[in-house]
Amino acid sequence: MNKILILDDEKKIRELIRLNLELAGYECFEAEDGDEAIEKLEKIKPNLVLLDIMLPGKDGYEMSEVFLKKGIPIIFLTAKDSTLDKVKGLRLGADDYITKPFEAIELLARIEAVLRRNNIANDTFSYHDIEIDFSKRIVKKKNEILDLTMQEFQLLEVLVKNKNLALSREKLLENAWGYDYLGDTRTVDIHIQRLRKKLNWEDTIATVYKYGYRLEIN
Amino acid sequence: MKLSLKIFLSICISAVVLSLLVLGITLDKNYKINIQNENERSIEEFHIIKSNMKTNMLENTNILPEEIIKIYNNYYSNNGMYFTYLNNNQIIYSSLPELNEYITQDLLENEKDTYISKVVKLEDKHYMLISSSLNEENQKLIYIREITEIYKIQEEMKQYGYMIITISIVVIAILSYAISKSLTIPLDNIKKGTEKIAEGDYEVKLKENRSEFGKLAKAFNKMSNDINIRNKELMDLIENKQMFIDNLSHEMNTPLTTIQGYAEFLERANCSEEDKIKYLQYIQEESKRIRDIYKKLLLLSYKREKDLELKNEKFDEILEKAERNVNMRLKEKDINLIVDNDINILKCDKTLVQIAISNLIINAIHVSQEGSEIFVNCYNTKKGSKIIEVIDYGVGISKENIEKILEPFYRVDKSRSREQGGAGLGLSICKNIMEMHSGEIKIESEIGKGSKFILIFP
Repeated sequence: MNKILILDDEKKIRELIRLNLELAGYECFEAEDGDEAIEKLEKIKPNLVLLDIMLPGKDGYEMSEVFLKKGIPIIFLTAKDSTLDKVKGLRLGADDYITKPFEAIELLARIEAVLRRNNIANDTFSYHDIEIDFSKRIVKKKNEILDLTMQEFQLLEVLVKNKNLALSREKLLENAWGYDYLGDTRTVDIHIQRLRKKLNWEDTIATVYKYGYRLEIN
Repeated sequence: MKLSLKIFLSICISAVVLSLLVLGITLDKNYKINIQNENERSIEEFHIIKSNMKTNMLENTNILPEEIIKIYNNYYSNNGMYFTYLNNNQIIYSSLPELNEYITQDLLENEKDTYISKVVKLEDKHYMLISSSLNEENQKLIYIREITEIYKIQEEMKQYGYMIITISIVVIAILSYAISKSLTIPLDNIKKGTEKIAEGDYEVKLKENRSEFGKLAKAFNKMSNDINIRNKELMDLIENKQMFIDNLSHEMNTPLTTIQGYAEFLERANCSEEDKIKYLQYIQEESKRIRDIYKKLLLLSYKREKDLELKNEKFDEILEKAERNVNMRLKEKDINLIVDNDINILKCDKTLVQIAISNLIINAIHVSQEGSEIFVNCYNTKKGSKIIEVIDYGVGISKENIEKILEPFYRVDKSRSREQGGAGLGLSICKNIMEMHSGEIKIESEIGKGSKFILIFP
C-alpha cells in the first residue's frame, strides 16, 4: 500500500484529504508543520508528500527541499494560485501543483499520475477472486483471463481508481469515454451491466439512487 | 548634422572668411596708398627734371631736344628712371622701346603743364608712366619709373598674411572644437540620462555645476529623483494591493476548500450518521468563517461608503458592551480583565468604537497566557483628548512587526495558523475606525513582556 504524508496546518483540510485517500486505498499520515513532518519522515518513509506552502515555521518551499533530497516526490496543495507561485513550485522540483479548492477525483488522478511517473504506482489490484493488471490491461477471474472490451476495461479502471466513491453517470462518461464523447448516459448503464455480469460483481458495483455508481470494496 | 560639428564648422568658416576679407582689404588699401605716394613723388621729381630740361633746351637751341633727353636719360637710368620723347604723337626717342606699345592716346591727351599717370606691367616688372608737355603743346615727354619693388612688398605681405591666417585658423579650429565639445558633452549626458529614464532606470544622476547646463542637470536630477520616488510609491501601492488580494484569496480559499471538499465527500462517500454530522458541522464552521471575513471586509471599506455621524455617547455603555462581546473568550482562557474608566462622554460612532475595543481585547487574549491579566485604562488628557489603553502581558511584538501589524491580513506568526483566531483583519479595522474618528492608534511593545495598544481620540 502506498504511503502518503499530508503536510497542512489546517486540521479540517488534512482530515478531508485523508478521508478521500484512504477510501482510494492509500495509507495516510498527517503533519501540521515542517518539524513534525521531519520527525515522522524516517519512521513512515512515505511514497509521496502532499504539502501546503503557507506553513507555520518552515514554509512549503523550504520543506520541499527536505523531501526532494530524500527522493520523495511532492505535490504542492495550496491556496496560492498565481502563475508565478505555480512556476516557482514546479521549478523547485515538485511533481505537480494543485490549487485549493480542489476536487477529490482530480486529486486522486494527479497523485496516481505522479506515483506512476515515479514507478511506485500500484499497477495491480485484487479483490477476492478478481485480479487486475492495469499496465498489461489484463483482468483475471480465478486465474483465468476475462474477455473485456477496451471500453469496459476503461470503465473498470475509473471505478477501481475511485473505489468507495460514488461517481455520477456524467463523471463516468467524461472519465472513461473522454470529454468529447457525445454518448447518452444510458451507455454507462449498459456497460455497467456487462461488467457486473462478467466479474460477478452484482453487489460490488452498487447503484447510487438517481446519481450513478460506486465500487464498494471493504 | 551634430550640434558640435555645426558649432565647429560655423566658427571655422566665419574665421576663414573674416580673416581673408580683412587681409584683402588691408592689402588693397596698402597698395593704393603706396601707388599714390609713388605717383606724387614721381610727379614731383618729373616736374623738377622737366623744368631743368626745358631750361637746357631753351639755352641750347642748336641741340635737338631728343639729344638733350638722351643725356638726361643716361644720367637717370641708373636710378631707375627713363624718358621717352614724342613729337606730334610720333615716338622720336625711346629709352625703353619695349614699353612703346603702352604709350597710347589716353596718356597723350593732357593739357599744358598737367600730368597723366598710368601703371603698366611688362613681364615680371611694373612701371609707372607719366606724361607731360614740354615747351610746345605737341612735344610730349613720358617719364617712366620702375615700381616693381612696391609689388614685391605687396606680394611678400600677402604671403605673410596667409601664413598668419593659417596659423590662427588652426588655433581657432582647436579652440572651437574644445568649445563645441564643452557645449555638447553636457547635452549628450542629458540625452543619455533621458534614455536611461525611458528604459526605466530612475537612479540616474548627472554632474551639476553653475553653468546653464549644470542647472539643467540639477533640474534633471530633481526630475529623475521625483520620478523615482513616485515610481517607488506606486510600486509599493501595487505590492500592497497584490498582497491584500493574495491574502484575501488565501483566507477565502481555505474555508472554501473545506466546504467544497466535505460537501463533495458527503455527496459521494458512504459514511455513517455520526460522520455526516461531524462533516456538516465543519461546513457550518467554515461558512461562518467566510461570513466573518466578509463582514470585516465590509467594515474595512466602510470609510469609503459614507461620512460618519458622530454623536455624544455614554462611554461606560460602550465599554460594557465590548466587555460582553469578549466575555466568553476571557472565560475560556481564565483571563482577568481589569477596567479603569474616567471617561464619561465620547463623541463617536458607538458601534464602531465598541468593535475597536473588542478587537483590541480579543487580540490581547490571543497573545496572553492562561490565567493572566489584561488592563483597559480610559482617561482624559489635560489637552482634552481621550485615551483608551489596552495592556497585555503576552508575547509582545518585535519592532519590525509593529510597523506592519496594522496592515490587513498581517499576522506576526507567518504560519497564518488560525488557532489563535481571525483573519488578521482586527487591528487593521481598528486603524480604520480611528481614522474615521480623526484619531490614531499607537503601539508600544517589548518581546516577552507584553504590548500596549493606545487609541487616541482628539
